[in-house]
Amino acid sequence: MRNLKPQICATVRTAALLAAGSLALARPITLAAQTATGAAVIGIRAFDRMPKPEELAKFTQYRTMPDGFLAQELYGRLTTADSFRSVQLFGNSLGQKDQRLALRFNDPGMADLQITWDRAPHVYSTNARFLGTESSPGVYTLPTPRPDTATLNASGFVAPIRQQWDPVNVAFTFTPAPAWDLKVDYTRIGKSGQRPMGMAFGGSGNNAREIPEPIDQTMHDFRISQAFTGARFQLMVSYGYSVFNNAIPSVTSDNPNVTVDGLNTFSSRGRTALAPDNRAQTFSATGSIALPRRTHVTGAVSYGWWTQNAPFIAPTINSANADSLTRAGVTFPTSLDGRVHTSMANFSVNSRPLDRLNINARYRSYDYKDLTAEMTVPVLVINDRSISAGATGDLLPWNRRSAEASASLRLQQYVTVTGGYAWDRMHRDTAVRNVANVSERTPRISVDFTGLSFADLRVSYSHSTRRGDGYHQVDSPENPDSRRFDEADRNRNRMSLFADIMPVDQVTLSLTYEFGHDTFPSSAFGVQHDKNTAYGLDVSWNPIPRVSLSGGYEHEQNDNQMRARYRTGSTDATLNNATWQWVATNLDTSTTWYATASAVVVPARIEAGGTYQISKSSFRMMANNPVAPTGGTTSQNTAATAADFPLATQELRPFTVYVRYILTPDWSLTASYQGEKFTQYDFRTTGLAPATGAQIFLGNDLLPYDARFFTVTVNFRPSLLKHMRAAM
Amino acid sequence: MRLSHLTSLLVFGIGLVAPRPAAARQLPPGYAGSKECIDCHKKDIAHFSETGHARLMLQQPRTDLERRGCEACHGPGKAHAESGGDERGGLITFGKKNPAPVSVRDSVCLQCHDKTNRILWAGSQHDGRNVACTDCHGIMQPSSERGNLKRGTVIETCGACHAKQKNAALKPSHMPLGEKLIECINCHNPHGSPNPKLLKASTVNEVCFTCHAEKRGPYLWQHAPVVENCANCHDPHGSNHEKMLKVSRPRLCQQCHEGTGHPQQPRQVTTVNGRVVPVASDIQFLLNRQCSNCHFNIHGSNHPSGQAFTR
Repeated sequence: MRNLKPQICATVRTAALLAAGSLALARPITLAAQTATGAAVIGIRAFDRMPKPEELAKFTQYRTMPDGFLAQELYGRLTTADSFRSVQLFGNSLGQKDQRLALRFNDPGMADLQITWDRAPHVYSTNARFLGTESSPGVYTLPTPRPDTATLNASGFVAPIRQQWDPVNVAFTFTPAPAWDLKVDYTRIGKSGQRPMGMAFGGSGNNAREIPEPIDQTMHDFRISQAFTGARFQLMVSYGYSVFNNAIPSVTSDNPNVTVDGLNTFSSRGRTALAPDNRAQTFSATGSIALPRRTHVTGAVSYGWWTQNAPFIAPTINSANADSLTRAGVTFPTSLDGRVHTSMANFSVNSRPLDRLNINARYRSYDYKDLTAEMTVPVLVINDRSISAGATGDLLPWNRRSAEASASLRLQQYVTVTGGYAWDRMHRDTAVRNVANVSERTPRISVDFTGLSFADLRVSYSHSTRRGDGYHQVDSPENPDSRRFDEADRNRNRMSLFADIMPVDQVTLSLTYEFGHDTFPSSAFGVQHDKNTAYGLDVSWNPIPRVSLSGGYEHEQNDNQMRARYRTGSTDATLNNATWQWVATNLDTSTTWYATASAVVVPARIEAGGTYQISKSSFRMMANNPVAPTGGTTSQNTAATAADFPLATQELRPFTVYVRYILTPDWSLTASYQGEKFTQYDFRTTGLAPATGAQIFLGNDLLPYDARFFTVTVNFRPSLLKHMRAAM
Repeated sequence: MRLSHLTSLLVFGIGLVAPRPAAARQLPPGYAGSKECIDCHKKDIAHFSETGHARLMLQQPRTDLERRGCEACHGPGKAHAESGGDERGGLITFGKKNPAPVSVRDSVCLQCHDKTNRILWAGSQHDGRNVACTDCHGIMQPSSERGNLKRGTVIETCGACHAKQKNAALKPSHMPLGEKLIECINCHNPHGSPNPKLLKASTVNEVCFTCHAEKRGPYLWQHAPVVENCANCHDPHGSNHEKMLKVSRPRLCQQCHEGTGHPQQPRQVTTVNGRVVPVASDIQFLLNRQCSNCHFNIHGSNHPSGQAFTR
């Protein structure tokens, strides 16, 4: 265990300061017509078992877990003497990469101003190995001659590959009159750091290199909305403007296998475009009119336009290919001038003509219009390596119309039956997609038992059939018997059950069950079925008033099956060889058990408790050939042979035990011992050497760890605020 | 300027134009007044007095409705008070044993809370399934930082019914809901929406672009399922696969890509020194990032040579 003395000293000092402050704050005090109060949770964390730095990827994926001083929570509130208007300051995880700070000025019913700064880390890897240097942001170089395999595999771990989001939001709500609400909202999200990406250099079977993608992006999102309320109507109009800026438009990497550019052979470097700057604006309006017989008619419309006109980077960084294209006088477009217009309209009617009858009808349409001028690039330089024929970018317009009607009838005090019917039609352009119109019809029914003193029960079932109006082959290499799952004919069954049962006052049982099954009756190839089953049981029990126990079990399974055919060459034998069919079943499971206990050991003095959880997940990709591949050459038959892949597993076991000593109604000390054990195996990444085959990977993986740590916190939470949960 | 003056300015600044509370008026017939309630329900009132609702309705009422205090929500209580608590009359208790239908109970909340985010509550999915406001919100004591949630956090509140989505946050690849970095309400409006799944924007993609605007494009080279729906490939609540993919690569891509060339080859593994590894020619298709080892820009490319999303 580490030396705790400095942390203990820091905590004692801070506690002393808080104690002094508590003389003033333990009871709300009045300062110049204000009432001040606050709360704080500070302490220390000391690791009994600290994961190694390279094992921290999963442990710190979305959080920081430092040892030493902790400022877990901070809350302060200044309230006017009449306890009405207030200024509040919230803080969590202060000084850390997952810090949250919020400042709120609130005048209930009149104005509300909130400023929040929510930091969000995302760690991808802590055991990446990467040779070379970043000569400027997004430019990765390697020494010449290139490092050999042994050198690449012997390279040390680089700094964690991580991304940091820093969203700042300012939201102001103002109600100048009871019938008028104004809201202005501005969010700036700064993203910085890196994430792994791949860069290909060769054609199929040739090399690729994994590098960290540099991230320096900024988003600005501004929204303003106004709502007007009349005796029988409401109207809300809003405008939004979103800007995305990327400070690093491309990433460049040396080819780890080649040092000289060649014409149509190899490239010593590769350059990939990163996300381009773009803009989006949206106008929307929502209105509601109240009619007699408790009938509401509502309408919502929105119109948006998106633009993207960032300069293209050069078509290749390969000097030999670039020179060749220059000499040939090939000219390339300089930017896309991309324009997309979107529009949405939704109209609905809701009526309760009788106390026990609720009727709904709805119509909705959405259009995505790609108004970008069709653009042809005269020549493509594939992977900076080879010059090939040019191509024209696809425009992908689509629209969707849907309508739905439903009626709920309360049969008696506790039982409500709802029946509904929905229609949905998706239209796509057959120049780029296979099916022009896909229509889906969904009848559904649900029964809700609510309002009983001892139980709530909700059951629902729906069955839908989706059919297309014909198949259009877009590209000649496509398998004409294949259907893409988002366009294919589909039968869908969905069922859900939720029960909340309280057989006695001390016991609550919550039971959930969900089942979904999609089948694709017209897909000779493509997804065959997709089945999802999830069920769970939660139990909470208060055997005596001072003791609470709870536990639960949740399980989910996904079963997805697809059928494919290996197709190679251009003859009928190599395109349609019936023995080259293969079927893959992808099976995912996830299971969680948990148990919690809490007890008041000595009333108003000592509380204790703990939690334990096991979360397991696995997936396997199984595949087989319905008949043995025999119809081609030996190598073709081998390539067409399907095989199972090994089971991949992950398991996470966190636990906590704690004791809370209540010093005064406002002050308490909490001591906890926590642990988290993580294991995983995935044949695709576990033990992956950076130089594998012709590929150069970062070699990163989520390594297993077993972390154990103590935390001691001093909690100052005046009784005025003791109902505020830790979520504060 | 003294600190207290500064804070006074901050607190009162935005409220300068606020309408002042109106003078007390007579209660309508049948109403007893909150004082009658407080006399008996001391424990409940002790908790309630710490809430914003209490500050508004018991201390600073602005309208006739708010001036009714407890009875603004629970209904007229004079008969209840005069009977010494025996006669409930038409009081609405909002508890499990309350006989009032959900729509009646909800209509109490909607007397005031029918604006802005709740403008489309009537006929919404939750309204249609008889979900009561008080199933999610606790009014009688402060229990969450925002929204008077009964269960403290948004994910606990939503997860009470949507257990599958809540548990998705425990899967290996998940949105940071459990880490409290985002909440269900970042994407969904549980109070009603003109969009599928109570989404806050018109489509799944427009919701995702709220934070992932780099994916918005439009691009020179576009990928059809990306343009139409991010959820074609991703499960936004969490999955067993990296990037929250619904099916592991390469199978995810092979579900659609059945042309000629490399995408529709089933791929194979072998065992070397006790370890299962792909055969040599399948390494870049099966290991690490699988298809994305090369097709990095799968969401769209703005590179003149990026037709295959490798640039």
